[in-house]
Amino acid sequence: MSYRVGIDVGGTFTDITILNENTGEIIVNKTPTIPKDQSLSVFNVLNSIKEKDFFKNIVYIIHGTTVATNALLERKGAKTAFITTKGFKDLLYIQRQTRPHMYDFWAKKPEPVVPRYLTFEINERTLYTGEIERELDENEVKMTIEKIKEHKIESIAVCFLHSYANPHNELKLYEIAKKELPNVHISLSSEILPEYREYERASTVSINAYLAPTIEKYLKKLELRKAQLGIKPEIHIMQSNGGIISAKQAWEQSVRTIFSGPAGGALLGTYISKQLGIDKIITLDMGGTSTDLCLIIKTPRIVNEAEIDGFPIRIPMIDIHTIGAGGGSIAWIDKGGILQVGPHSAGSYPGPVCYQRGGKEPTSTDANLVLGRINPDYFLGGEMKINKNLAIMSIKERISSYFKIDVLTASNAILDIINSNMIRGIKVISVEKGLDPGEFALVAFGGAGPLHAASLARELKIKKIIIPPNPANASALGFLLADIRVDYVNTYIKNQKNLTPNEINQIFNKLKNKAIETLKKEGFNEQEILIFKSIDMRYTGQSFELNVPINIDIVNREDFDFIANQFEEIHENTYGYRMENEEIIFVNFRLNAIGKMPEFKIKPLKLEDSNPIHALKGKREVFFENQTILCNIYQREKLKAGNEIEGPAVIEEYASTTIIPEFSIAKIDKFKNIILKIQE
Amino acid sequence: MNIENLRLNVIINALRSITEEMGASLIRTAYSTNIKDRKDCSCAIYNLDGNMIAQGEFMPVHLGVMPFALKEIIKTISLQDLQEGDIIIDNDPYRMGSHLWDVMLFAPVFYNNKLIAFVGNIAHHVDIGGTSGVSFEIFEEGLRIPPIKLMKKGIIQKDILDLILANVRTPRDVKGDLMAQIGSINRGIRGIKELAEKLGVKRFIEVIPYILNYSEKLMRESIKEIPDGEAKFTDFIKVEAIPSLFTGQLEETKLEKFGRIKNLIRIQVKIKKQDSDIFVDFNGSGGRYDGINAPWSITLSATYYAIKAVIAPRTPTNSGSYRCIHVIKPKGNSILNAVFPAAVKGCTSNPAQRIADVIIGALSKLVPKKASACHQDWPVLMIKGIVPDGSRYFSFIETYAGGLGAKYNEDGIDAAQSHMSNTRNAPIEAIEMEYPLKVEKYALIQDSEGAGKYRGGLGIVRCIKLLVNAHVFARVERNKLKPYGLYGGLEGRRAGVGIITPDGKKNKGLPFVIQILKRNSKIFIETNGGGGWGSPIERDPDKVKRDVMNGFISVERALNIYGVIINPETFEVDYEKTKSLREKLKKN
Repeated sequence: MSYRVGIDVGGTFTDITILNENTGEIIVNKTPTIPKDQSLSVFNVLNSIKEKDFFKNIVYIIHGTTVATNALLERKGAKTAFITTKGFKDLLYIQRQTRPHMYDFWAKKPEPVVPRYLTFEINERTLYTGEIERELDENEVKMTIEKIKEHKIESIAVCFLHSYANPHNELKLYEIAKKELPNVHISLSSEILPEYREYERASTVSINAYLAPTIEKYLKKLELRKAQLGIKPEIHIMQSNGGIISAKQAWEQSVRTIFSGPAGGALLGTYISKQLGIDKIITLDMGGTSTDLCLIIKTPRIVNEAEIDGFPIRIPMIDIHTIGAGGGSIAWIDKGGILQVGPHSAGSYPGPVCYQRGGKEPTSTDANLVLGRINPDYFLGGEMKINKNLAIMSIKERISSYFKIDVLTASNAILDIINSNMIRGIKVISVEKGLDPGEFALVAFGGAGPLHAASLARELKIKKIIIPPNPANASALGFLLADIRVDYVNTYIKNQKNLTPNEINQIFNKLKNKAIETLKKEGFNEQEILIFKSIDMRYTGQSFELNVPINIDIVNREDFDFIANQFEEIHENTYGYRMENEEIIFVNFRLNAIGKMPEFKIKPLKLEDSNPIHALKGKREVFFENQTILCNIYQREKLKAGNEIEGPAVIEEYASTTIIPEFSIAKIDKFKNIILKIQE
Repeated sequence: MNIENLRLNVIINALRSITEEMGASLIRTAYSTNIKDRKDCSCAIYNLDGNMIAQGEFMPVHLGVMPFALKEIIKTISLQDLQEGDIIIDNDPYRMGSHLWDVMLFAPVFYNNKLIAFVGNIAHHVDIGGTSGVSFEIFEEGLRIPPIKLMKKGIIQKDILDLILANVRTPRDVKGDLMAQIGSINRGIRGIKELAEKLGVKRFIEVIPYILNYSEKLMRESIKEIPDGEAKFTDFIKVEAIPSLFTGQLEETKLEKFGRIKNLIRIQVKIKKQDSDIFVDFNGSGGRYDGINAPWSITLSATYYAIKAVIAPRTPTNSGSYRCIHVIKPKGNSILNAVFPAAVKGCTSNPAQRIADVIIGALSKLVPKKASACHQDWPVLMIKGIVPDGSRYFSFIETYAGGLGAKYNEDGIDAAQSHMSNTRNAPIEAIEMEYPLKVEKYALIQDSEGAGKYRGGLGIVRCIKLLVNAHVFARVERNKLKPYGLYGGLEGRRAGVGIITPDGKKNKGLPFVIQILKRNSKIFIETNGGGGWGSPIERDPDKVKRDVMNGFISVERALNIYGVIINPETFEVDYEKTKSLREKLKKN
């Protein structure tokens, strides 16, 4: 036996998904998250698995953690100092000089993770050409370090102007500082992000430094927990770029573990796209407080900048759009007298009214319950008791009575409005990018995704919905699909016509050597490593770049023309036009390297008879669109490949419920996905 | 309770999606960085009466333009003359347009040959012709386009387009941006048709009044939260660099701390709040002054901006929202109501900024807990010259952050853009790469805050060294008349321009610089601090300590202004001595 294990620590539950590599079988479970100690959550969920010799037979263990994100949001990172070029100590304070909200006087600029009194200037200067205009003065550095010592600093971030062009002064500072402060973590901007634009670089490196000691402590604790259980293989950590990395590397580049959770869902979407041969997919991951959306055309789009808590971080990241709509979204009547749902959420505490934890405000989950779409006796497989009467009372009291309507109409309106919020979100990632959502299949998961998918699909003219098995554990399953991935970037700004093939190859070779060195540490041979190169380019005079994949070896001038043409094609596809007679500037050189994990296989099952009668668990009155219908309820776990269910019907499973509307047909495919065909 | 309101949000969401799609399409396909990067554009949907029902808006400058411009157009062009595929172009400041650079397109939406709605957008173009220097009348400011059809039945009127492009310096960009505007209009038309199809035309038309009424109610409910009353507020624009044909309107005022100040234009407002209505009266403000005049639409934009910021900052607005805001036009030849042929070029910085300042100032008397002390007024720097190898011209332009005003319970934001603008800075590393300039300093200015129980934000200094001879234009506002504090809070520090020439001559605190400077000269832009709120001797000593420790304010200022005694070595506060010092200060 050999097991591959994915663990996702969420706000409410810690999910585990286990692949038995020999049989292709998948096991899932959930245990409550212990917010104070994520390592204990991991320990508990591992301990909940009762398979024989489970711990001994684990070959891979992949973990998505919110430790970094939480430490940043709650400002519980390390005591960090920031060192920069003389004249620029306020880089982190001035930021991009914009105010956070156009109208709201109370909106705040993000408070830097380094207080100003721990910000130090060094009289040094590098020019954009990479020329060192002023060398570091060793004595000045030593004096600064003395001050840093007085403050008992745990971590240092360094960002000198133009260090992307020449890291000389940053490296020299590192050398001196490391001797004096061997136990202090030091993040150099030329290591973490050798890319131009000083504020974004400074922000990224300061957050990295701020989080590194916290992540290190956490991962060391996790190692101990793992050892307690007798698990051998090193833990791998999910990164926001959709790849994984070993724990040791993760703490050096801690900033890359921010936003790692949603990446799992996008990976699962990509896998299903391949599994079913559907190129265009939108994933809908609807949880308790929010919904993550990702548009996939064969692969998800990777973007190179994201914002967290108001801070820009420039690291490669799967392009995921999050909206404030979830099962816990609260329904309320605004000052203008119309019904609103969200963005406030009851979260998991107190949670929806029906959870009986003191929640008073009706939520989307309460509406689903009132409409018969959720089974009150089978919430989390019956493990959690929920109260339908409380939900009815609260919707009556707060919504029905205001509009003088019955509780079913009110509940249905709540769903219509939360759905319209999600439709707006899906349009943002599709229509606003010039894409028609009707050409995509919707892959719905998260606890609440399968409840809402059919209504959303109908509005957006989406014809096919796919609900993977164990939709509520989708992220953890997605983790199992990840390869080892590292990314490198270097800014080298030059007009295309002045560049030589040699220059380009030198930069790429430097990045490639770094990548290979890292992946060798992860246990890969040079031959096994896949390398992908790209360049961010723009026309002269533009202030933004487009990323152009480089799939050829650059040998002569014709190759430049080829690349330039590729850029122009991408420009035309993105913006609708090319610029005539405008020169092209090369800006950032990017390289990512992938070490393939052994291929993940879910064994296809033999298709059986279409009759699902063996999975029928009863009948229930469920409200569809505008009427209550007595319909069949099926147990998902009992459905067999090849079964077909005609709507109206409901499929229930451990932590999720799928609605099959009238005139729609759900088929269980050979991978046990529910394939739901929506009639217009 | 109307049952329409139960699901109204579904339709509001659909309309917002359409304006968002129009905006995304415009920004995505535009040529100029002005639209692409700075998002200086706005998109809207209208009903048949020209009432704006939804607006996707990125710049407050368009708030007062978009709801009215279409109404002016349908006074000129009759609805009978409109056909499917027509697009109207217009940039006329005297017909509720903005300054000439802001070009608007509007189009009727037909469904089964029936006119059901309008869509429109506005975008700030890179160039519209005209002088690059001072203007005295609209004729010098570029091409003025009254409402005319740029497109008829889906065909671009090449003669009109050629006429426009022949009058601008950057025809490629202007054409590209106009095409992006047309694409966005078409996207909007498609969206409206899809929505009408889904809802049925009858219902689509019937539901719109509910949306307008809803927005009106939202605004009225927010206004009701303010006590009834009347408040007046006066501030000034100091005229320095720009001459006008109409100089008779300038005032000279004696101000307590500064003595006599000349060349002032009065901006004055009286606000009356009654039940759920607000009346805004600008009578008493100064007369026409060229280059600074605001078309009435821009006066409305700044008014709506300020009222929205104080009363309902997070609420999307449409024509319904403005039904309860009644702005009274000043009589005569006013700076706030430019009439043909008054020059209006600079209107979006001032008087727009000062209008916001006086409205927020007046509202601070009625609703202190929703207002803010005075923000900085952003300076402008332009540097033009030839790159060292002589191969091309360069033109560098930036506006700057400064301190924002304090509020009744919170400090003002340090280093941010204020009111009508919110553009990002140019990264230092980008500036040095692209221009023969070297940035030597970019920092907060210690002690620049308007002191108070809650302090204003700090201003900044940017120092730029010229690496070639260059023409420099730098202007700061609020060089003498500083950003006001409220309820005992002090004023923020004044803004100024400084220069150091290669021979070592220094000049500081200037209101403006227009001159050719030699290579290796340095230019300093120092921006305002924001105004403070409440008396500084009431500020929590620990907050003063934190400010001193972080270098935001000096030990001396802590002592002299805040009455807090702090040890410069340990930063410990001597609480007892502080208490007695503050009592003494209070008595004085």
